[in-house]
Amino acid sequence: MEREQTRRAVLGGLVGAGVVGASLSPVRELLNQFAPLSGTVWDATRHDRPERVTSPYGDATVSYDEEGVPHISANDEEALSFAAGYVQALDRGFQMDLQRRLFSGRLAEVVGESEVESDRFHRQMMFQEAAEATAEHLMGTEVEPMLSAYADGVTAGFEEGSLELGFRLLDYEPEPWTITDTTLVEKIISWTLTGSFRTLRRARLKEEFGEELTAELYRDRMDHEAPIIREEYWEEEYRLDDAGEQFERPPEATEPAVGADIVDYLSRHEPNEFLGSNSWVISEEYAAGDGPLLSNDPHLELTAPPIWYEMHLDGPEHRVRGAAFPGVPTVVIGESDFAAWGFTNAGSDVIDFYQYESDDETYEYGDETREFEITEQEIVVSGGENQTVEVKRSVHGPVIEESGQQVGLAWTGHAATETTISIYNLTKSTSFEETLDAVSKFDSPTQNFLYADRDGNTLYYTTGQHPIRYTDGDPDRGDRIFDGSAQEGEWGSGFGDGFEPFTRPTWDGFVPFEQQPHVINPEYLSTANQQIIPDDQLEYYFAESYADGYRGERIYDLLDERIESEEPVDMAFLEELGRDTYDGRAAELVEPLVDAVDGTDEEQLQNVAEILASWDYRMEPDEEAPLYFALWMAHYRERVLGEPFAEAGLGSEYYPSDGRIAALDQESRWFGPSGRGPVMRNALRDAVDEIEKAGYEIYGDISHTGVMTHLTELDFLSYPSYPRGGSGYTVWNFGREGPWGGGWEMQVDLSEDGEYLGILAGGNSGRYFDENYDSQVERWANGEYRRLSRERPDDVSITFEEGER
Amino acid sequence: MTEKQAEQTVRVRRIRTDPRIHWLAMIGAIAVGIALSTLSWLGIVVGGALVGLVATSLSRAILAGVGFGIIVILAWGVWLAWGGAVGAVFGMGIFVVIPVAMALGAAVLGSLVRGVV
Repeated sequence: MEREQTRRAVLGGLVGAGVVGASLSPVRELLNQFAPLSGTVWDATRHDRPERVTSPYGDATVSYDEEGVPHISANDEEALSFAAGYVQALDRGFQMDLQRRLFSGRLAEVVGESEVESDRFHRQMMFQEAAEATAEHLMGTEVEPMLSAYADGVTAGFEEGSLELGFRLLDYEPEPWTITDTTLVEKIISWTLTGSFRTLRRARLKEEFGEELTAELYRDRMDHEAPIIREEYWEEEYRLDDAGEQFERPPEATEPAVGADIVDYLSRHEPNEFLGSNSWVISEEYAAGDGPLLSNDPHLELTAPPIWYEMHLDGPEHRVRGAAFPGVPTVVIGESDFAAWGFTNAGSDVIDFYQYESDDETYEYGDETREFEITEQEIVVSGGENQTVEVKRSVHGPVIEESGQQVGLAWTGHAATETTISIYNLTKSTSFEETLDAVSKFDSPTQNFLYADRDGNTLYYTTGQHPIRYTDGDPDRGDRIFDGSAQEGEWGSGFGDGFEPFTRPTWDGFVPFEQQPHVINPEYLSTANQQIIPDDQLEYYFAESYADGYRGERIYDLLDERIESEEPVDMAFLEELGRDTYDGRAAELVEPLVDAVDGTDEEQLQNVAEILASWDYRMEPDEEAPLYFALWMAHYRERVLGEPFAEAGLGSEYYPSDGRIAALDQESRWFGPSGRGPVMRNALRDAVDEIEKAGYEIYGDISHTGVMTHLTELDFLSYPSYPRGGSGYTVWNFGREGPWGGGWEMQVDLSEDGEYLGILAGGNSGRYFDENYDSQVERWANGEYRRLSRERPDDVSITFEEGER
Repeated sequence: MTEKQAEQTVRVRRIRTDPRIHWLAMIGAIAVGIALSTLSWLGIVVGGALVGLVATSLSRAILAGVGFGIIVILAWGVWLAWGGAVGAVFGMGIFVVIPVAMALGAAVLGSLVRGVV
């Protein structure tokens, strides 16, 4: 009897302890999230969009097509923006929220301790303050009503739509969307494209390896540059009246030292330097149809879901279809009834670095002693102890501190900018003049703007505010660290005058819009992040370095060949050009590699050399040669740089581009005493070993879409794996090591009834359970385009009805 | 033991031993358990307890608990399939193991109540 009672007590205790323990411990959260039938996570599998929505801004309709692209129609701009915000919140809400958290330094609040350093960096960089200044500047402008309606639309979408899986996994709900959140997206994109610590990295390398070896690796210009603006378009217009001569770095220029720790810290958070893009425009004269042709494929980071969101807006003043950034109400790259346009990164230098004579609270600036503006901010940490970060700024902008070291920086993106107005006006433009006016307002980032319209105009313009630096009243270059206390590297008419961070600058003393590189009505022109125009054609310092010129050179070669053949350029040719996989690195390096193997008695290497020698340098996914080349290149990079960099405590974030490595002289000291040949040979041996060990057979085994991962880095949210051709250096772009590539690929024929082609690297929905989460991945990997319609589908998915919320 | 308690004991014993009543009670327990499971994870524990109480012995109760856990998983699978999400959910790796383990663990935990009463 006693035994029976004991047994009952034990079992009763077990059940009680199990239930009470689970109810009172953190396990309860897990149970609430994941329990079958009742777990909140599983509600994400149901994504029934509301069919009727009340909008305080007026009636609108949304028709989703089979690709999950919303076609939004309204007779009022604000009603249109409200609906755009609403559908973006439904389709990409989690991505939008995670982005704003990342750049405002609030990621640890939902993710935990692992994101504290990231939050600290983003707070110190003051992106949020720059977004707030921009939002404030836009109040009262023509875009305020649109931004306001859009923000309300996003918030309504958050409230009424079924929350995405990401919110449910991290167990939080998004806060209302604000105009500042939208202007923050502009800052994110600007930073991604112009935020470079190259000046600091170069200075760090110089300290480790000396000037000469550093200059070999961090070459400012390549020999094979095929500039965007070719000789026939060099004009007097790029000359400034008052900017003196071409700036050479003065030999006596000295740089204040910057600590290694802070450069390492900053480099860990630096945007990928190798991001790039392609675009080209063909005037009516050379086009097969009766209008110009335009193409653009921006190569930003490839993520699941994509950085781009496709939408079609049909408003009272305009109709526009193309790719937007989730978080902004307007199409950024696309086509309207009147025109088509695209952007590639200009690579110009709009960021500078400053050292000070300072103590903790003050710094010298000219004859004055000034106080740093310092605020203490709290980083809320999910499941951990909250942290405090000191956010500091000087006259130049944010002052970043790490391990007792500091550096100040000035970046044009920290200003209150009008890019939103520019893009909005661009989508509504109905004339070439309106387009030029819109482009003149595009403050940041600095971009190659390419355009064609139905009146037959074509246009290339470098956009963005570009500072002219002055030291002691003389123009200066921006590729060294300045002594901020000595007022070196002042921008325009001076900090606090022409440019004051976190306010609306006058831009006084910056390169005037009219004198930025541009070509009105080019017959045909292409951009691929290469040098814009030879330095001696500009009278101001423009860029510290440009992308390797492989893509730029290749595109011009193919376009020139076609034009010279006198066969009109048609969409079929442009599709072929857009899918070109010729790798300029291979063209430069395979021959010396084959020579290096020649004469060895290793049969295996001889066989590989034979395969490479008969290769056409095309990075095709079903071939063997590109597999050998891609892995050889990775090992070659390591063989050349791995050891010396590791000894100097430098990570791979300090590696230069492959083009710079390919350009090293065969006698360079970087190859060590034995020279380049043995290094090449050893790298090939490494590659062969890796291929054998991993069982790779073709290039597609390593170059595939499976490397495109989700922001949360959860495996199951990555895209399925399909072999993908191209490399990070080919026209059809796919940098598998990023990954980066053509996230939105677009070709437009502006003839009457001309085709509009496009494809997204992934799918338009950010919802894992939605059929359009990854519906375009396979076609994108296969190099297919979709034929985009300019009409709205008949079936209405969501009806917005005017009413109070 | 009072007369009333004795009467209850007889009733419970009938539920456990009379095959017809036993299965009716089991189906009822499962139905109630599933219904409660759609509201909270505690519903799975209660469901496990109900099917356990109907069982003739503790060991059978535990088996019934496992069975109920499996039924919860199947019901969940049907619900997912109805939303067209079953394939996507089963691609979620560890995130699928968690609910499966929860269903079985909570149901068995509940079924242990059979050893108390």
